[in-house]
Amino acid sequence: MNKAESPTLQSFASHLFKDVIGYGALAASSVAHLGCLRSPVVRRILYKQIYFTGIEALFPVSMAGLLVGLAVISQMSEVLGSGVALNVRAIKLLVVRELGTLLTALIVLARSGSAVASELASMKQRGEIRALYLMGIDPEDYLIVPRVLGVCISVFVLTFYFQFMATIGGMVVASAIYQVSFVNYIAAFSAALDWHAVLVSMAKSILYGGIIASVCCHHGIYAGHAAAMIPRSTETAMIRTLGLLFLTDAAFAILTV
Amino acid sequence: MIALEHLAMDHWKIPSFNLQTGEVATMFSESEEVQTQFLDTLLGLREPCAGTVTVLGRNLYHEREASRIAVLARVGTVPENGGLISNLPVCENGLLPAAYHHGSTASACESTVVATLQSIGMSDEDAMHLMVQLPDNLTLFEKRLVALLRLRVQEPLLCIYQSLFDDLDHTAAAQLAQLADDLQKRDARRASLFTGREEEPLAEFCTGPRLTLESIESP
Repeated sequence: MNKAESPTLQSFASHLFKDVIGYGALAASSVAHLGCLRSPVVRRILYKQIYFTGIEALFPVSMAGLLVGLAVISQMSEVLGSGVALNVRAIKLLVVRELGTLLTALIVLARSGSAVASELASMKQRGEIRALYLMGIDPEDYLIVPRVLGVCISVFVLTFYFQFMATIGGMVVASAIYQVSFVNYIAAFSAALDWHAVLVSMAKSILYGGIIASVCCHHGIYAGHAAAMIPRSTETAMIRTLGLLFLTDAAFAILTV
Repeated sequence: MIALEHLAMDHWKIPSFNLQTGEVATMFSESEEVQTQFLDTLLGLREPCAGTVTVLGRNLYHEREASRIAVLARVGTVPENGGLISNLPVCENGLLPAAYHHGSTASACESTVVATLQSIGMSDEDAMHLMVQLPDNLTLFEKRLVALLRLRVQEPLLCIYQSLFDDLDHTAAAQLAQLADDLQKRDARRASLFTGREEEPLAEFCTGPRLTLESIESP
């Protein structure tokens, strides 16, 4: 590889910048095309996406939520002691504000993000996107809009479900270990619950859903025609989404302290 | 329906041509790539190097996305591999454009599909079996058959068939030709364009004007 062909930091940054603009454009365009949901055919794809991304993820999200709640309480009580107020604060800060949205997004990315990217890349490689176009069906309306919306709705709902399961799991563990009434924990948690944190969590979950769907759809639909591009575009989608999720989470953490 | 004026791409050109209402035309080229390039140019996916193309009175490449899609909704295409969507069973594939553009339902189209399959001698049991298959499990003939069913349900004004008879035995090609002919005769305004890599079946099954691509010699 000669010097001219070697990838430079500048060309990598330039590609990355173009891709990030592409993700934003795809998300904005999906919002602009929401009217296509009037078609029953498109709505059916949306329902399928919600079923696949949301309903089928309930079990892994339940398990992850319970275990995270358990881990947070057991570790935090080791550091901070066994007080109800401290345990409730640990749950509120870590589960509701931080981990709930991020871990749910990571579960959805692992299950559905990779599936969306590889499915669209495979459709591109098989000429199905061209076939849709030739049928007079806008591939954006038929493929992108229901996936973006379906993933956003699923991440939003799953985030609350994760938070609920983690809170319940943590409190069950805490009340069992420290012999404190479960009802006391619930009452303390309800009193301490900060609605600002809930609103931030809602906004984050919708944004994370949008990031997962936009990045994965972008890399899927713009994959090359060669079969080798399917795993490559899926891998790129995964890495880029992970990077963007962590960056956005860090930005939220700094801005909402 | 289709008007070509001095159309040229990188390596080929085509004489000016008009496909009129009710006509059937053929276009022969040994190269699949050239056929795909020609259809993409015709349907607005690719800009021609020279000349103009209009389909149903519109130059699709220069149309806005929405109006291009609106024109394509009145054009039925059967690509070489059928152009089926791999994650939809045959019954949903057959209904897709009609359901998307006109809100057609499976129950409304069932009798049309059954009658079409019966017309080529398929039993009800075989038809039911075919309807629940995914495209990956179909033979090339079945893929093209489903694409023809899709056109039958869609009832387009202009039908374009890419390599419909190629790589099939004579009986299978004759069955598809019969279905395409039935579809053409259902509407006097309808026009059809068949492209193919094999000259013999095109000549046998399709009558009407013939388009010939002329290669452009590299300087």
